Amino acid sequence: MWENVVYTKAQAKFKFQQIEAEPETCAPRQVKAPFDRLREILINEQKSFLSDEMKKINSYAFDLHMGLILYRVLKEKYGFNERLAAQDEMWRYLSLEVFPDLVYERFGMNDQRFYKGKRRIWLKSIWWYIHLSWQGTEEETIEILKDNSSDELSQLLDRSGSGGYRVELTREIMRQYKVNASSKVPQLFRRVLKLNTARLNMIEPSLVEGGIEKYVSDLYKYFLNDFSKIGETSQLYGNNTKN
Amino acid sequence: MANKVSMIRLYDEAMEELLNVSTGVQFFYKDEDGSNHVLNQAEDYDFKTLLSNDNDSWDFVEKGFGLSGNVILGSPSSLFGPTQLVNADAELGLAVQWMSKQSSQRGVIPLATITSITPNNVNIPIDHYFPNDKLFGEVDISLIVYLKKASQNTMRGQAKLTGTILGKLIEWVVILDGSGSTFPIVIVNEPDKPLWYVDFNYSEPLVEPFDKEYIAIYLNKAHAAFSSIQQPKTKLDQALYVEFLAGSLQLILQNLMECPDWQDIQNGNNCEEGSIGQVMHYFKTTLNWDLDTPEKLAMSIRKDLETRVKTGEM
Repeated sequence: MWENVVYTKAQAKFKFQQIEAEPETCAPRQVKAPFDRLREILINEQKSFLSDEMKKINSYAFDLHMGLILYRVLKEKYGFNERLAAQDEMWRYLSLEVFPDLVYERFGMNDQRFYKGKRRIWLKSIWWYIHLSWQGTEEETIEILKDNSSDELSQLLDRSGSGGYRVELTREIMRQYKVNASSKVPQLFRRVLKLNTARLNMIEPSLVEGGIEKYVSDLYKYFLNDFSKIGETSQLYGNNTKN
Repeated sequence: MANKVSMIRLYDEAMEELLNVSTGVQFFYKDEDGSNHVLNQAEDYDFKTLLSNDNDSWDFVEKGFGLSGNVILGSPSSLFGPTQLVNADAELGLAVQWMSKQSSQRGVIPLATITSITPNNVNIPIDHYFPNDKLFGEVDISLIVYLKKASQNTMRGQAKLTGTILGKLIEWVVILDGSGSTFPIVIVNEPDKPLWYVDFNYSEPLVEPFDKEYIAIYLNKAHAAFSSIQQPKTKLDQALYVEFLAGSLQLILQNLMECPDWQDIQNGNNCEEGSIGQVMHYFKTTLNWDLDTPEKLAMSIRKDLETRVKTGEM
């Protein structure tokens, strides 16, 4: 099914311009099988989420909810995997041919969110957010993500090192963030990711003595410990990410 | 790319000579029945590895691929000592590192521990399989050496933090999708469009790859002359083929001439590997295309392509 998806950036641009002309009526009249079913499931989820008047579409809660459903349905019913998720072509197709109205309602006519932004395509960003945070089950994943905000979502996608995501590492960073989020350190997540980026220049977390868990707990400790105790560490790493 | 100055001693050419590494690594794929088949390796002009089996039936999407074999370290103890890579009581590790920007993922697989008493000519086996649902595009695979356990008596300039990567012993860039560094031609089927056209979506030509995401040459299946270009048979077909390539490449080069990075592209400065800039620089320096004026460019592209079509190179 996915091998038949051909959707270049130029095709996406063309379709986006068409939608731009009449965004209010951009819901597709007909979606090709098997993606018609995917649309049905997600649109129903959107409706049921928004039936609670307290809930808003422009919210992290909506992104998290839709991300989890998208992740589950794509995996279970559409044979989706990391190889496919890495290809913008798939996301451009889903955004513009299957869910244009959904993306429009969430972000308006924002070309970055439809097809242009490497990490900004909305459907792609919520899928990877769930994937990089996955804790083995949906329940456990919700548990560690439910108190976050859009800021954590974009930070995780944007600041996770160069050359590709280390999936085991981001999952551990997210797991320990849940444990440490209640601390009083302002912007803890952003700082931890900045320190991580600096350390990744030299160090491979899974090769550290104690493994990824120890590497990540050191990242958090750096900010959580009393500043007087960390002089030695800061000399070793020689960075100034504590600002 | 920014140059990095290292504060610690890294694996260098002198150490490489003393260590005396030899590798016997093969790429292979597994069949449904579990049997392993060796894949042939070929290099494209960019020294990237292209894999294939004898009847060209192997496809990464269906089977995945792996690497297996061994690495022999002639004199591992040469890396240890107060003036060497690490001090005598430290431990080094050997690992396979893989990195794929196009797949948005990377990882490492530890292989072995080396100490100052590891015997000469130690044989370290390598065996790793990449399943077909993980990677896309290209993957950069390297054999790395890292600090596994720090010395109790680390000398000035020697690494102290475990997990620090100290160097690469060997590296491959393997192409999994596509046929290597070729022209980004996209076949479309659009009855109302011409035989070919070009579309630009690049913003940083010194960084972005020469790939259909950024620059695409569209060739239209719905056009009557499509087959002449897809499979040129007659002399006229060949001439049309040359015109198609020359016309589209001229458009690309002229478009790039108007961008602020053009000077760097011409001089080959600051161009990342595989970037649009690097490929264009290659056209200029290796293929002798004359980029001074549009008319000189038109002439030199055609001259080059026609010669290559005649000699059967294309």
